[in-house]
Amino acid sequence: MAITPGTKLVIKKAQEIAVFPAMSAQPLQNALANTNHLYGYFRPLLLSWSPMGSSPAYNPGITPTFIPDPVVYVVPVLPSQDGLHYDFMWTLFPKIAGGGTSRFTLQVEWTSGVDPTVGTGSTPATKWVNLYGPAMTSPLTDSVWNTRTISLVLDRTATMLRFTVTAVDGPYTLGHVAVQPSVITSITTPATYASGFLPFDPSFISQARAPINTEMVDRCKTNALSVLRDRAQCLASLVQPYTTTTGSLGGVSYYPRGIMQVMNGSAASANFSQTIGMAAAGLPAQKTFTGHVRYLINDTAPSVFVGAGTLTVTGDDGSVNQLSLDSTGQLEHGVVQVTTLGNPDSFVKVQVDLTAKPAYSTYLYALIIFWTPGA
Amino acid sequence: MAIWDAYAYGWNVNYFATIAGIDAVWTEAYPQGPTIPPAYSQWEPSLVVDNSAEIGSSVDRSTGMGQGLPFTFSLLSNPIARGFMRQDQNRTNLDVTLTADETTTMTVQSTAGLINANSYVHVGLECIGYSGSTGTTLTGLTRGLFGTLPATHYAGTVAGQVCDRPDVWRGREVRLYAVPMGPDGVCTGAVLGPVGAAGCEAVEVWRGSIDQGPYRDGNDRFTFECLALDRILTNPLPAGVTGTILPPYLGGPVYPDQWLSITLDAQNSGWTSIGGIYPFGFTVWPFAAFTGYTAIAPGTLMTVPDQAARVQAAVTAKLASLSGSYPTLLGVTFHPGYGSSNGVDYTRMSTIELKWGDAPDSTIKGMRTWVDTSWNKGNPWSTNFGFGNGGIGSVKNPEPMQISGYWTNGSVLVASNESNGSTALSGDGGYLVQLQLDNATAAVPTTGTLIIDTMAIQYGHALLQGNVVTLSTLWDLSQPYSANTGWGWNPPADVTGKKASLQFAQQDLAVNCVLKLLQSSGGTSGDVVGGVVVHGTNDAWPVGQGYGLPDQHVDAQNIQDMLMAKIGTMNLLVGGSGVSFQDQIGGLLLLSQTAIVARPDKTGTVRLGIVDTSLSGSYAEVTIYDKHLLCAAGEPITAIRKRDRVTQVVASLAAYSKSTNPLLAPVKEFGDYGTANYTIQMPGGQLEVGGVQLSANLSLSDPKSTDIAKIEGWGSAIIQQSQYVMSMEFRVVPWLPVQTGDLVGIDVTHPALWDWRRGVEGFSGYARCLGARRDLAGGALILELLIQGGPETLSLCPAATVTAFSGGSTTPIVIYCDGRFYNFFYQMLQANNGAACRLYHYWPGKGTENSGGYVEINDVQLVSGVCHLTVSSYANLTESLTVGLSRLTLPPTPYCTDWQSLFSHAEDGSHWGA
Repeated sequence: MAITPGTKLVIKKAQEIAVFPAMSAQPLQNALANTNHLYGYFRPLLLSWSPMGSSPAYNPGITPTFIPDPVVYVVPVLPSQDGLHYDFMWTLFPKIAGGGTSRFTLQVEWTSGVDPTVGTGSTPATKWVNLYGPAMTSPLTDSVWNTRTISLVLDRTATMLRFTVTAVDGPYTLGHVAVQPSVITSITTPATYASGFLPFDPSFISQARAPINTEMVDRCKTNALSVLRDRAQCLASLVQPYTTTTGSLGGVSYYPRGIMQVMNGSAASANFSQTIGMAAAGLPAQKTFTGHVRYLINDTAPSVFVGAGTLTVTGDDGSVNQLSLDSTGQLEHGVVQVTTLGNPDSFVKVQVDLTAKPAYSTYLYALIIFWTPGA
Repeated sequence: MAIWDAYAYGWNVNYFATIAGIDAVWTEAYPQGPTIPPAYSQWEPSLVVDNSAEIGSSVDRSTGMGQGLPFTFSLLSNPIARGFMRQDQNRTNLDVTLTADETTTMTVQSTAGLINANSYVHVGLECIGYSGSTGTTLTGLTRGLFGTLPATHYAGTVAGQVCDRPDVWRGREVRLYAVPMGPDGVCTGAVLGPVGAAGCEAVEVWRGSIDQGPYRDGNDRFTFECLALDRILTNPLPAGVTGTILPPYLGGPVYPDQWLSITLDAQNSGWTSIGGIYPFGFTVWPFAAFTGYTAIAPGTLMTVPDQAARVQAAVTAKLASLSGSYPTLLGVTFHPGYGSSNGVDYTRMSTIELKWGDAPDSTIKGMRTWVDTSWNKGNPWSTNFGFGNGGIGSVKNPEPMQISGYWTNGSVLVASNESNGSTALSGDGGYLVQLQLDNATAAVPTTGTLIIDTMAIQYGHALLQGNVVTLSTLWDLSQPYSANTGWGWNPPADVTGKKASLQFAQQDLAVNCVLKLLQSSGGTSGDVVGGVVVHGTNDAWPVGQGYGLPDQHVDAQNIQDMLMAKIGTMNLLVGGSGVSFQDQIGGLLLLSQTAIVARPDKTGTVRLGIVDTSLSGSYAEVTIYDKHLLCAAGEPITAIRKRDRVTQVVASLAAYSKSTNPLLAPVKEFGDYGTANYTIQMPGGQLEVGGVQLSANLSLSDPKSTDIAKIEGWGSAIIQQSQYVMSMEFRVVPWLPVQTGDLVGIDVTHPALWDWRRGVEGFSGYARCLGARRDLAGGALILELLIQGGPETLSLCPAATVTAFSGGSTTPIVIYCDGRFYNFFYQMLQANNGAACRLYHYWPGKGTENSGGYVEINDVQLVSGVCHLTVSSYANLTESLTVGLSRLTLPPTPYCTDWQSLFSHAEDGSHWGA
C-alpha cells in the first residue's frame, strides 16, 4: 500500500484547536495527515556550498574563478536513514570567448568509508562507488547562471560524496551546489521507517466510533520529531577542491590548487595559525544548538597533525564551544554544542582557524556543520 | 493545621463549641488538661457533632463567592443545657433606648425578678453584665459578654425586651473548635482559648450563626442548624435610610460666591437719566457674610422664599451702607419658569421680581434697573431691565419690576461650570424633595438615589436637619440626560406621603470597597465599648451600606494583599439597597479569578478572606501522594465534573464617569452616568456550540483604559484556562494542611486519573483547591481539586505494544505487553465480570491499519513486570502480531464493553484535552 501525502499542511484555525474540539477523528486525523505531508515535503538542504576557485592559473583567491579543467570536490554528508531520493543541483556560469553554449560532464560518487584516497569500485566501505555519471549536461547558456538538477538515491550509510565537474566547451564558474530531499509523492507503508517515521493510514481512525488511543496522539509528535531529526540540515559549509598534489614555493611545501591554505615559512620556528573562514547562521527560537561536524583536512607535513585547526562556535548568548581539528587527510568528525537566547533572531557564529607547521602548508578540503533540530 | 497531625499519631481531636451570649463551653468530651477560656464560667460535655454533614467551604468560580457548608450540632439534654433553653422567667422592657456605647445605666420598666446571681441579662442577641441595680435601672454595665457585640437597643420595640435567659437564638454566632486529645483523654495545651493565646493549642474550624433551632431531635437532644459565616454575603443589604415624602417645594443649593449686580438709573419725566448719583451700580453677595448675616455654607439647600429674603436683606444692607438717597427694596420674589428636557417638562426658577419703594427724589419719574447675576457662575446672561412707577408725587404704590431670565441656574450652566472646572454643582433650580426619616441617622451621603415605588430619582445634594433630609438637583433616571437641557424633575402630585428610601453610591478603590462593604454599619470605625471593638476598622460608610462585620470576621490583611495583587488599582462604584455583596463585588471576583470565602486562616481562626481560584502558580506547599489517599469509604478519587468550557466572557460594565470619558463614548448620551458593555471572547471566536458564556457585572467609577485592558486580560485568562480543567474529588488523610484556595501539588498513580500525555495512570501536576470539607466523625478531608487537563471520559484508549507472544503470529495464545498496562486490563476484565473482552490489533504504519483484526482475552497476569494476556479467541489477524511494532487497543464503540466505552472514542461527546 502507498499513501499520497497532502501537498500542503492543513492548518486549523485558532479556535478549532485553542478551544478543544469534540473528541472525534478530527483534528487528530488532520494532524497525522500533516505528518505524512511533512515526510513528503520537508526538504531541508543537506548540502549547500559555494566552492572556492581551483586553479592558480585562473585568478586564485576567494573570488569565484573560471575553471577550465576538471575539478574534484570531496564533501562529507549525513544522509537520511530512510535512503531517500535527493535532488542534486549544480549552478554554473559558463564564460566562453565569443559566446555560445557550454556543456559539462558531471559525476557523483559516494563512499561509506573515511579515506578519500581510495580507488573506485563497488564496495562503498573501501571504495568510491559511482552514483551518477560521468554524464554530459545539456548545453548551458553562456554568461548567465544555469542550474542542472539530478535526483539520486543517497544511501543512508554514505559518509562522503565526490563531485567531479569537467568543462567540455570552455571555462566556467561553479557557483553553488545544493543537495536536498526530493519530493515524495507516494509513501509506502512498510511499518516503521528507519528514521522512526510511521506512515499514517486513516482507515483505522476514520472507522465509526474508532478508539482514540495514545499511540495515535503520540504519533503526531514522534513522526514530526523523527523527520526533523533524520533530515540533517547544512548549517555551515566550507568546501575547496580536493587534491593531493603538492608543490614547493620558497621552500614551503604547499597545495598548488589550494585557494585558502595556511602556509608557514621555511625559516619559521613555530607553528602558524590563521583564520580561514567565518560565518553566522540563524537558529530561530532554538535554545540549544548541537552541531555535528564532518571535515577533511590535510597538510603537507609527512605525519598526522593533531590540532591542525580549530572550529569555534559562539552562541548569541555568549556561550562558546571549540572543537580541535586534526589533519589526517581522512574524514573526521566531532560535535559542537552551544546555547542561544532562543529568540526569533537567535544565531550562532562559526569560525575556522588552521595551523601550519614550519615549511609546510595545511589545507582544508571541506568542513560541514550539520544541524538536526532537537537532537 | 498542626491540629490534625494528631490523627497521624493515633490521637484524636476533641471538638468544642461556643454560642454567642451563652456562658458555657460545649465540649464533646471532658477536656482534661487545659482550662476553659477565661471569659466563660462553665463547660458542659454534651456536644454532639458527628451527626453534622461535612463542614468546610467551597468556592463558586462563576460567582466569585464562597459557599460555606452548614454545621449541625446537638446538645444533650442535661441541666445546664436545659437551663439555657428554658423560656425566660422574667422579662421587662427598656424604658430608654440603650445605645451601643452606653456602659453606665440601662433604664428598664422594672427590675423586679430580673436580678439574678449571674449578674447579666440578655437584650436581643447581646448579653450585658451589670454590677448594681435600682428598681428601674441596671448600672455598671459590661457590654458584649460571651462573644456578643454591643448594639443599640431601642425602647418600645420587641428587640428591646430585657430577659434573664436568652430569648432569641436565631442569628447567634457559633464557633466550633478542635484541640488534640491523646489516647488517655488528655487534651494538649494549657487553655482552650482564646485561640492564639499563649498555651492554647486549639484552633477554630468553623464559624457561622444559628439558622434553625434549638429543637428536640427525638434523641433527647437540642439540635441546632447553623449557616456559615460567608452566607450573609448573598443577603441583600437593607435600605439604610427610609422615610416618608413631604410636600415638595422649590429651592436649591446656594453658594457664598454667587453675586447679584444691580444698576439703578433714575429717570425724569422725559425718561432720560437725571444724572447725579445715577446711574448707579452695585454688587451684593447675598449668601456671603454681610452686616447682620453670616455666610452660608457652600451648597446649602435653601428654599426659594429664603433665597429671596436673603437677597432682599443683602441689597438693603448694601444700600444702607452707601451715602445718598436710594429707594427701598420692599420685596424680592422668584417665580418659577418651565423648561423641557427631551420632551419632559420640569420646573426651574426663571424670573426674579424686585419691588421697590418710593423714589428717593421727587424729580424721579421712574427708575430703570439692570440686574445681572452670577447664579450662572461665570457665564452671566444678558442684562434685563424693568420699570418701577415711583414717579413724582405718585410713588405711593410701588409696582413690581420683573427681570426676566434665569435667575437660578438653568441646566445649560451645568455644562459651563464643569467645563470651567468648578466643583460646585449648579443648575439646581426646581423642586426640593424632603424625606421625613423613619429613624435618626448620623449622616446622609450628598449624592445618591431616591427610590419611590418604581421611580428612581438621582439627587445631587442632601441636607440633613433633624430627622428630615432635603434633596435637590433631582433627575429622573428613567429619562435620558442631556447636557444641553439639564436637570429637572417635577414630582407627581401624589408623591407626598409615599414611603421612600435612599440608595447611596460609594466610589473607592476596589480593595477599599470590599472592606468597607463588609464592615460598614454607619458607626464609627474602631469604636470600642467596654473593651470590645464594636465597629470594624473599615466601618466607614453610612448605615445600610455594608454588612457591619467586626474585625474578627474579616481577614483585612489577606483581602488587602490578595486584591491588590490580583486587581490592583481600579475604582468601583458600589452601593444601593436591595443588592448584596455578591451582586456588587461578585462580578469583579469571578473575572479576576478570586473568591471570598470563610476559612480557617493561618492564625487558626475562621475569617472571610480572598482566595485565588485560577490554575496559575507553580509552587505548592502541599503535595498529595498515593499515601495520602483514603480508600475506606470507596474510591479516593472521583471525577466530579468537567468544568464548563467558557468560550465567551461578557463583562457588563456600569461606568460612572464624566461624559468626557472616551471609554463612554458609545453611550455618551447618558451624560454623567453611563453604562457600557464590553464583550471579551476568544480571538476570532464566538460563543461556540458546547461552550458557555460567563457573564459578570461590575460598576466602575471613572474607568481607565488600563481597567478595560485588565478586564479583557482576565477574560482571556478565564477562557484559556477553562478549556482543559476538571474538578476531581480527593478523599485524603486528615492531617494534610490544605485549605480552600490553596494551590496543591498532585503526584498520584490512582487509575481514576489517566495522564494521556505520558500514557500512564495517575496525574502529576498542580491543582487549585476549590473546596475543602471535613468529615467530623472520622476527620477525613475531602478536597475538590481543579486540575489541568483530565478526561471527561476516563482517558484516551491505551495502545499496548506487543512485546512478545506465544503461539503463532496470527494464532496467538498469550500476548505479552508492558507491565504498566496490567492494571488497565485487569480492571477491564473485572468490570466485565471476568468475561472475555475484545482488543483490536493494528500495526501502526503498516499497510492498511484498519485490518479489523482482534483478539479476545479472558485473563491477565502480571509476571515479573510483564503483562500476560491470555487469548481466548481471535479473528482477522491479517496483519500478524509483530514484536515491538504491532499494538493492542480498545475496539470501536460498537464492540466495546461498558467499561471500555468509558474511554475516548470518536464522536462520544467528550472533548480533546478535557
